[in-house]
Amino acid sequence: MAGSIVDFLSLYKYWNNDALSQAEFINRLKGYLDTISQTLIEKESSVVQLSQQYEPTQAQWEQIWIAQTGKGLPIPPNAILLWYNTVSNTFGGQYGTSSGRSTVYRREPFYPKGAIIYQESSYLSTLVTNAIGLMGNRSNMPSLQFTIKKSFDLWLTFELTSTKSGAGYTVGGDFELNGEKVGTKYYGLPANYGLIHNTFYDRLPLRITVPIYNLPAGDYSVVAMFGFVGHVNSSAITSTIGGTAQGIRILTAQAVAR
Amino acid sequence: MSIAGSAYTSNQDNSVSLRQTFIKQTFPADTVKRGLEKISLRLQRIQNAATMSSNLIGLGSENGVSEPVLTVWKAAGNGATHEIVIPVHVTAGSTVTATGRLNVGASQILGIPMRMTVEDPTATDTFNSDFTITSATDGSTTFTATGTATVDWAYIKFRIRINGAFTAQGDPQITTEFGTISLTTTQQLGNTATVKVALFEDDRPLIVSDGKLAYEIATAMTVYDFVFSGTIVLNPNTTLSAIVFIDGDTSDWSDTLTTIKVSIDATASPYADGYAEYYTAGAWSYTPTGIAGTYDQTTTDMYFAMFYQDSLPTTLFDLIEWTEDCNAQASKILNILTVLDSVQESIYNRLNHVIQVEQNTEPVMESFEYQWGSSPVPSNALLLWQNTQENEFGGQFVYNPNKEVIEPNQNAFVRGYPQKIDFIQTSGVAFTAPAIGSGNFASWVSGAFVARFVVTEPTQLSIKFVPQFVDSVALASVNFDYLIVPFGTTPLTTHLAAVAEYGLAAGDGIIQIPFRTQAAAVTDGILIDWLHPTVLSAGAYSIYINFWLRSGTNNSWILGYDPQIGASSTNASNYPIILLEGKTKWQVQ
Repeated sequence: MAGSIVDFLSLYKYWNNDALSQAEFINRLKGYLDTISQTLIEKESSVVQLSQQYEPTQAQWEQIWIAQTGKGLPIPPNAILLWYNTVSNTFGGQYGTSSGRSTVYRREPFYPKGAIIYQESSYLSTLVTNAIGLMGNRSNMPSLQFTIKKSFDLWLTFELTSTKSGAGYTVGGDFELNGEKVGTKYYGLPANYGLIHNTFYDRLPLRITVPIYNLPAGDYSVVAMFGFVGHVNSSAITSTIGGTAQGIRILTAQAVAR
Repeated sequence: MSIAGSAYTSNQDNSVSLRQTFIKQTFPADTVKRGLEKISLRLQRIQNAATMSSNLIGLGSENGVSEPVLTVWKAAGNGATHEIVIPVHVTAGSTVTATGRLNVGASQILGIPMRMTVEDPTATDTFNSDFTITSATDGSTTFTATGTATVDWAYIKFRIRINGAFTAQGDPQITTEFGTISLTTTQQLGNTATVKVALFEDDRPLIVSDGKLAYEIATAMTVYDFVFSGTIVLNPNTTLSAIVFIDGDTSDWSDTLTTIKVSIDATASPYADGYAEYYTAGAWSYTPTGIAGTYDQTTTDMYFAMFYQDSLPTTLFDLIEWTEDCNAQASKILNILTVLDSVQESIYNRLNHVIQVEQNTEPVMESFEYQWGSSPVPSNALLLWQNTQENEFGGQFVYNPNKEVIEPNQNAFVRGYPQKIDFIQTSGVAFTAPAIGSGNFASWVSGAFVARFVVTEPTQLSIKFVPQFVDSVALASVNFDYLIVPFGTTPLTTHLAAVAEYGLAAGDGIIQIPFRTQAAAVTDGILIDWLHPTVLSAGAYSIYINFWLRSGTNNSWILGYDPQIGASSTNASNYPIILLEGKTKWQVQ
């Protein structure tokens, strides 16, 4: 569709030094100019402004469209309909139609920036005791599958409580997003702090939240991961999650529109 | 040169009927001339309409890009006056702001008075803006001037008086005629740019032998040669100027344009007495705004400046005189057709074409390009998405030249409090010492937390944590207080002292937890969600959080079941999970 409306230079061949040829030239020129004029009329973006207290309705837009432009319905998609909110004395919003439809929509994204367009959680409570490393024990971790229709930021959160045998360790967690490991976080605690280096005090709550920015629309699958790496005194570590003592482990995914 | 004040009237009738231009079938020369004048005026209205439509697109549109006008004028001595005339579309009564850059080669600028007027070119000069270019040692300087337009279709006229900084070389009047003028531009432009060059003697366009007024070069070239062949007669006391129009988007212009070089070849000049020097040895290059200039003028005889205007180039055949010579009429007609072709292409490219994509997922740039049939889509096109899954309007889109993608057309900062979390810090919490209660109902125990965080834009911080209390028979309340300070080097082990140093005191931020029974205290965590009341500016911060716990059952203390948080010598408790969230606050109220 890119280009021009008519080809004026093609008319040059009609200009000759006789009245008949020149008449033919002028007639064709008139036609071309009229085509341009009509194209401009069709494609210009007429602006309609409406100031009132409430958000205008379909009928009000159509009424004001006819009144302000003198043009008929339907309102073309390149029309710009502006509402000024007389209560707050601010710009109320831009409105318009889309091609092939007479419905007046607010000219705003269906998924506005910052909106939460998906939020879901899944959890498991089965008791699992194992000497697990990060990314291990995948089948015992909560997962989610979802489809997002627009580009978005994804916030993944994993919450759980674990107990362990052994002394001292670095706990970590991450996620497997569409088969790729993302958002790894480790929380290593030095030996001189905290109860977890003492075999007597061993419950540890963990919450990992990571953002993953600018993901395209599509199908997604995510699995939460949890595990230990290293320990202070070289003793083996066995972790226990789930069951009555440790409770549930929860994966939460939140998609925020970009 | 930006043209301000061309206010758009929503119900303005831009529907110009061109069909009524000619009503007779016989065409004496004066009738044709009048008809052409009418066509010209109506095309001007169309151009105005197209320009105003484009204006609605706003910043970043093609219309927001200043189109350069390169004007070359010949030398003059001390006290000589130069005048630059630029025809523009304006609205009578509007304020016109002109910004430009004056480059005078190796010479110094030592205060050059300039005057600007925006008026009917036939009127007596009544310059409405006097200003003086300040001195510059590198031979170039910028200027800004404003004036009020007196008519709709006006000329901006600059008058520059050289004020003693230059040395005249010979008589500035040109009485010679010479054979060939060639203009060469050497530049790199992007795919969307086109280049046109026209020559003017004062405000009279120079018609070269092949009948063209302006030369247009195809896009995607790196070197452009414009050769105006034929004989051109210059009249005495005139100014020779070359106007270069470059249509292109902002990135094309500012990022890649390197040099415009103008050279004039006067080898065919019959004169060897020095006059020709004004047009010999000429090789002037100039780098437009934003790029360090390279000015390799070899004489001081010629100067040029670059001005910018927002409006479309003038309809050139405004300046054409109709002729009674039938043979010459053909050439004029071709000129007219050439200009008409250029004008209608400009109009077409400035129309708000609607490109609509209908699908169930958000479209990307390729979606719109496929719909349009070529790449890129026009910069001022209205890009719409109809969400077929929801059967709703999906959004308007816009081309982002910085990222070179098409993305949703929406403000970066929306009104109110979006649910956009900009940063988060959680876990990794350690206490310097267990928080253990050891007193009665009136006594407090405390633990402290410190964390560092960074915000990159004005942000409101929320603090969430779920302290879990183990073996407390009856937890009466949990209080917390916090202090946010610019990030320093305070170590964890001394943070309590640091808190004291920063004057932490109970006050805002305290949350009283309702009295809880033993069972609840043992099994439940308590969610505390607190929104910091003020907005933090961008920067790095440390946050200190202190907890106070107290216990009791109906004001009676139960020995051995002290409230605790973090750790205990007798009872295990969990570390609290602290969650800091920053939410962008950009409230336009």
